Amino acid sequence: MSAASPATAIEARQGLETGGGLLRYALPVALMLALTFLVLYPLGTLILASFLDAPPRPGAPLGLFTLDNYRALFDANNIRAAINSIVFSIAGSIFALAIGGLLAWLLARSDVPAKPIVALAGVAPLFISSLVGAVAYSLLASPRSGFINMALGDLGIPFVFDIYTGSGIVFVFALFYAPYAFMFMSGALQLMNPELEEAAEAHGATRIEVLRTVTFPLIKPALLGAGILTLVLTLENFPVPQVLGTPAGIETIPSLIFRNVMSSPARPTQAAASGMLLLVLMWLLVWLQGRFLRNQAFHTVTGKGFRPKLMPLKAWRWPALAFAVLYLALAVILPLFALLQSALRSHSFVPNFLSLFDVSAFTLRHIAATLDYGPFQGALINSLIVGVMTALAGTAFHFLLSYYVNRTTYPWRPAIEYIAMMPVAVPSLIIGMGFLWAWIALPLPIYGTLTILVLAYTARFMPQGFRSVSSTILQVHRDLEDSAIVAGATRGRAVMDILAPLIRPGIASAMLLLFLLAMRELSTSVFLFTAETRVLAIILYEQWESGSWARVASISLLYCALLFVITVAGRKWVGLRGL
Amino acid sequence: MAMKHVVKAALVAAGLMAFAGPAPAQLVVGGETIADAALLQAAKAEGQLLYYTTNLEDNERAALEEFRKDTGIRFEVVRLNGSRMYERVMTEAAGGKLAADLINLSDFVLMQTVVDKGILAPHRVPQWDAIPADLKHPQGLWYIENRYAKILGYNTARVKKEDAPKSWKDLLHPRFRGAVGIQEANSGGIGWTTAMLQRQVVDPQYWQKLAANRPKLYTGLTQASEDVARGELFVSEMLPAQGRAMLDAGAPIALAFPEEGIPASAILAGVTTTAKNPNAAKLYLNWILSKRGGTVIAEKFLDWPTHPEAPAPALAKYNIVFPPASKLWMGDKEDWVKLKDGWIKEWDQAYRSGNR
Repeated sequence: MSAASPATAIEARQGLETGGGLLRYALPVALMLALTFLVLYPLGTLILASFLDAPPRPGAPLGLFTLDNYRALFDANNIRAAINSIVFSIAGSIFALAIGGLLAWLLARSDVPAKPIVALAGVAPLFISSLVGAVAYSLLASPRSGFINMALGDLGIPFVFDIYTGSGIVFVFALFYAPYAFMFMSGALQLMNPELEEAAEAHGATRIEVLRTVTFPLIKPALLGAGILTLVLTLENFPVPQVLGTPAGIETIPSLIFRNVMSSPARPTQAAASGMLLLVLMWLLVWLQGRFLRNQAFHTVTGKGFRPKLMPLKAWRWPALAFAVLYLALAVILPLFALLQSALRSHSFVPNFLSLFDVSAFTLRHIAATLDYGPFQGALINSLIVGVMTALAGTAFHFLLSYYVNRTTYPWRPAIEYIAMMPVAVPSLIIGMGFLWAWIALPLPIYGTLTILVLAYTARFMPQGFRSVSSTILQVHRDLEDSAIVAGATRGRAVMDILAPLIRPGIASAMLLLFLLAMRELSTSVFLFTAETRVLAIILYEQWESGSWARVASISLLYCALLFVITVAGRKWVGLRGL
Repeated sequence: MAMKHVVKAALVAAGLMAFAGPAPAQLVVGGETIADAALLQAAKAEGQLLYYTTNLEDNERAALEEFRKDTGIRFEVVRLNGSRMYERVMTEAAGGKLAADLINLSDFVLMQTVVDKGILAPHRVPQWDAIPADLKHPQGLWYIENRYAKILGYNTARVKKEDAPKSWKDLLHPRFRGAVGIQEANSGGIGWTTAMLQRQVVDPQYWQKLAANRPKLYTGLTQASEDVARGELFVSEMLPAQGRAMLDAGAPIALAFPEEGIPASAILAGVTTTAKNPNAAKLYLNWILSKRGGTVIAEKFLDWPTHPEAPAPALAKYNIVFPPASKLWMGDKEDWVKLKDGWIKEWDQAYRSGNR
């Protein structure tokens, strides 16, 4: 899209048309109020709590001011957790980037055989949430009875793969965050103009030199964007270190926050301070991203139609495919196999690897019992309601924000955009606490209802919603609407008749994205749910903590199946792009 | 169970109606009066009960299901571990939004804070006189619903008979390195009581010694018991009911009562002042503290009930005899409160020392 609109005359006219109305003042105030409620107020409550000796509870006097929570960040355990967080996140991101980037490159720019399999490998793990992935790997790679280790042992291979370690956490991060890198990179690679590479080759550069001096610099912004995205996501990830690290006494900042809130004696305000540390780290990353990507627009990525040139892999064609298949096996097939095994066995003791295939030990009892389990049914319904409501209300709100920022000349647009993007750097685990403390104090009957979850998700996924709606709106040049306005239509009419039909697919895709994100959400919900408002991720987590493996595996499978159906349906009908 | 939960009084009332008009029906089970007519009617009119519990969810549901059979009152359960439940109750209550009719906690100290905040309403159960003073609040703000104990369970396919663990000390043996499951000291009353027993009774350096043997840490022990069943762990702390579940599933598992002491903790339950269904909540307290309720606790929970005439838990099917309640180690009450914060910090240092 062109950077600057030449339509100053039209802007002037537009200003004339709408500038005098009440809307010019009412709308920004209303949006600001909504954003304050959704983002600033909960975040402020959290910051306040980190300086108090007791969490802010409505009705009770405010706790005393203290710096002890921040002092405690220098405890040996806290420092270790912070180091672990940083190390696991960086290592996990590097591997995720390598896997996702390689798959994206193979798919877009090489002559690897069986491309549909490579494409599948790139996105299929998305319907396995990191919680399910971690649970599945506890079954696959626990040192003594993990299925992989059992197979290695029976084959006489003296190697034990222990998932309850730092490297185990990094491994699971890499597997389940690679798709994010893949999606980020494949777009850039597919749109890259091959003429530059051809020019280099024409001047005598070797393939490797072309990759190093042309291709790599061209995709650097995408690589950086993907890298920072995975860094942020792994840094705030709670389920993986909780499931794989905590049992071995290995903590990260998110699992430490969780322990401080949930254990006895609880230290919620210290958790808030740890949350601030995480917030600063994440903010730093987002700021770095902004700095790196500034003035680095994808100039080479013009919308021009061309077919990127494919690089012949020659002898590496089949090894490249094997890599994709191996990844698919590790990230999708083996986890599903492990979950099926656990869900279908009458009891979990497996004497050796071959007996995994002894059909007589199988039963549908656990899956049937799960389907019949009241809380599971309730959670399924709740998840669907919350997902649909978030998709509808969230997207409507995100559209309003995006339209306001991208299409109007009203005041406070930069501030509104900034606040809308803020949640990207707020760790989801603590913002749930912020919502709880902030909103319960208000005379609003939302606590204990599904509404609080819809509001929380709308706030938490605002950056994703806002960005995906904005990209859709920006694809349609404002001249189209403006000509309607010049021809006498009202702005509302122009939006409805011109913009709406053009952006419908993009909005549908944004809604589906929000729906999926809401269906998978755990870290924020964990503080907000009540008996009647448990969602699927909560039930799964509860069962992981106090239920049986068979139940956990059954719920995981059903959960994956649901996400799979939604994703496939979404890709088919709505053309979902990216998560 | 051969027990018939005949609400005889209903029939009696029907008989009486001929000359005396509709007489109120009491809840009587096995000859024991559990509720008078007024409470029963009011509870039935409410028809439902929301219980915030720290007991194992399956256990609490099983008891409530028996209660439903006796009274027709439906239920919903929120299960959280002790500290999390406390945080939730305090936050909800502060916002005037406490949803529970009945709550329980596994910690005397936390329950006292709940009492101090005026969250609990007094209720006098019919069995008041039979319940020993240390198992109830003097004003009836809470009662001990059940006392639960932690024992050891081990995988008989992985541990040779002569190596079977019999004591807490046995867990320090190198043969169990990396294959012991324990509960975190900070998760609920029993976790802390166990840590205290290990340090006060077994060995002042027990935590450091066990940490050196690289145990696996759990917040809840259901998974630990499953990990013993699947052979991932050789031995783990577990609740008797968790062990029974594995035995019933046919897993190669055996239970042991550690020689130095069986740590136990109490679940304290009380009706909330803001209950939407206060009568159903009171009726449940009456019921669970009766001999009938106590029997359910002994049989379904494998916990020790409060009613003095209710039986002790037993697993006759597997030839497992449980010790009487008097053999449980609950720790000195003052120590339990006084030492908690500092010792749990030390516990965290011992087990999360990073060089694992």
